[in-house]
Amino acid sequence: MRVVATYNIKGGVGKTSAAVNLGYLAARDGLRTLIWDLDPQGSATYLFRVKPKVKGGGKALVAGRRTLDEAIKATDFDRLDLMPADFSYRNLDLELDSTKRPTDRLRRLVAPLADEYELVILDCPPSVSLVSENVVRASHVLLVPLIPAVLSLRTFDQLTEFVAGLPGRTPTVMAFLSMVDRRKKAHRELVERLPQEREFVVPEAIPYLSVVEQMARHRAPVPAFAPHSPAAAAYADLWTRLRSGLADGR
Amino acid sequence: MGGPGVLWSSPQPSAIAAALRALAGTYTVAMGRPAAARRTWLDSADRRLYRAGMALTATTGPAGGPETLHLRGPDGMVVTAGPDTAGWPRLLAGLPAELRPRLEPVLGVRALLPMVRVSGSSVTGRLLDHEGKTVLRLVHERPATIAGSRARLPGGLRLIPLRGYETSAVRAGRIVQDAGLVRDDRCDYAAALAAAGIDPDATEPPVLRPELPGDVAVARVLLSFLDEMDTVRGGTIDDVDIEFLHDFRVAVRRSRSVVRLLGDLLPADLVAWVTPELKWLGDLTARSRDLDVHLEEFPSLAAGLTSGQPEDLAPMAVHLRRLRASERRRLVRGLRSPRYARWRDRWRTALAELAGRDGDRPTVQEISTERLAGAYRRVLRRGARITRASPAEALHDLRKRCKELRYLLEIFAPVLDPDGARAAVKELKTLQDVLGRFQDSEAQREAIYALAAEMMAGGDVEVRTILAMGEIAARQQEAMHAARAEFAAAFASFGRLPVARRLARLTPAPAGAATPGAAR
Repeated sequence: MRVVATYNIKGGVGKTSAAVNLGYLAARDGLRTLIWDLDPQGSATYLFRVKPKVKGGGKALVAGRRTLDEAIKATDFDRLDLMPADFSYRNLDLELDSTKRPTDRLRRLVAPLADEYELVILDCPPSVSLVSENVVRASHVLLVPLIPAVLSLRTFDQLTEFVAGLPGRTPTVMAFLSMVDRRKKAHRELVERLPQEREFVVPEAIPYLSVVEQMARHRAPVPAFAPHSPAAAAYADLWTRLRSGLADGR
Repeated sequence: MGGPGVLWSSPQPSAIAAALRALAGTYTVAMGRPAAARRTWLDSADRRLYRAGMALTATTGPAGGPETLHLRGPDGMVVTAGPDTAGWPRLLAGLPAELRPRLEPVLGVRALLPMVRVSGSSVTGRLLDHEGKTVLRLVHERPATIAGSRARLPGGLRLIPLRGYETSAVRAGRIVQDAGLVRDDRCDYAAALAAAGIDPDATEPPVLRPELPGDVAVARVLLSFLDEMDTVRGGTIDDVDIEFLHDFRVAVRRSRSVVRLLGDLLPADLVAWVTPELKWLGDLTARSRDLDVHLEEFPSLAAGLTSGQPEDLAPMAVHLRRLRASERRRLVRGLRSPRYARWRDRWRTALAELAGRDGDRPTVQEISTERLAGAYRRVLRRGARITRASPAEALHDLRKRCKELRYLLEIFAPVLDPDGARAAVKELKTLQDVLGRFQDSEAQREAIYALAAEMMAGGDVEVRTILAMGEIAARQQEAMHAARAEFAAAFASFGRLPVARRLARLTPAPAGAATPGAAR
């Protein structure tokens, strides 16, 4: 089982869209896949039409009174399941802090699912917190959507420093440009330049297209309702990149 | 990850439509378009998957093409593989990697063969809740045609629960039940076998009855062995898997033993004719079977090397495969020869004629005691003569006598006390295991020497290969010594009961006699 986290300190950069579309593509490719919506806003949960409710909330999970297994829901797609969000996840930092090994709890919660899933995607809330540290420890790959802006790059540098500064095993960081507006020269230049300049940035980029926003209307992944769209093709390319990264042990 | 779900069916064709209407009262029912498909259930010839509670299907479109494989384990977990184009039959090594770990412990050396093929169509659909979320999958399976027969596999409405939405499955089940459908808890494989007229749980009625005259009984037993040879001959010729030849050889060997032990009950000219013919069949199949065993054991032998490396033995594997190919050509020629056809026809005709006879002659019941007593005496006498100084042949000869006794116990089982017979076989098996290990190790060692000599005579063999083969031969020698050391204790344990006590244990209680303890 490989664990991928879609993560960025910033919000609104395409983390959930990446988690949902890549999860869908992984399952379509034959991988038994679970998406865990860790964001109390529950956007991934909404997109899959699942109720954002976990019995006992995050507290019961963290305390070990309930397991993930009890709360997982099938999505409408073969081999793709969802661990729904719950509004109580907003207090996850506090719950984690009260445990014995507060930075390792998420990894231990996911570990029993190894026989059942080949891929787990953690859709993370935007923050640098105890939850983030847990996510980093639980993941093999940290998939970071970057919007093509200078400030965004600055945040990314903060993130890589944060990961590098953690003790023990750290995940591979794989960043991609998200919400790229091809009409903007600055965006086009960054798409060209950044993968060459930054070791962790892959050349596959997700365009800024209305079809991605339409996910909320269709409540489905892009390749499911617009399989021939450029956005679906872009996510497919990104999935190919991620899959080979996972296979290489990156 | 929903598993195979539950099939709900009804003899009334309109019941499915009524059930779907009833479901539409609570859920949104979204049905797709009908899709035609051909589905094949696969299993080994001895239905190992069925017995293990598993089912493997290969599904393809109506015009054929690549297949999608679905393996359902006894835990209900479904593993999917494909597209697959390699065709059937196929051994484990040729199966998709996803399926192999689950099938290996069950399938072993056996190949997968098509058991039932059906053509039909189905419509998949979903039940949606008020959020438009799928809470249950549906498959309307229409009655399907079974290939090569006029039978049909009955259809139904399959409800496939989704994880986290189990209550919807229960609720939908209640709705379709109220609409007149009946739950069919058989797995789809069992239903397909039943529709094809195959009863996988059927047990063969005993060939023998106590009151049958001895010659009739012997003819029936030999006919059952000939039936077995007929059943597995095709798979042996086609080399489907090595168990076909093994089963063929067992039937030949049993036939030879019966002719030797009970042949005096048959016409003398028939025995005089069939004895060399059965020996010919034994010789025809022996070398191929030995090579099958060598190749089967090869990986574990290579893995067990301590001084040599597994790759040192690669030339030996090549040589074995070459020998096997050559031996198989001889075997197939023999099984397809006019001699085999003539033997088989004459043997069947003669046995069928004998099996239909009637008259007042000693019955199986009467004969069994006398023959078992003789076989026991031979085992006990020859075993008692074996000392530390006895040559290996004495143990080999005892093994043959034990095999004869075992065959008699198995053949006469229908007229023996079941518990007594079971205990006798178990006791004998312990001795046979020791003798078997001794002889097999010696045979392996000798085979390795012979192979090494052949390979050296052919030139182009490296020293490290011969040394690795020497290491295996030495290991066989050790196994032989170990078995020999166990023999005395094994025989002492076996030989503690006199023949009369053994026979008394095998004699069934008279009808109506009280079982021990029943009076309490």
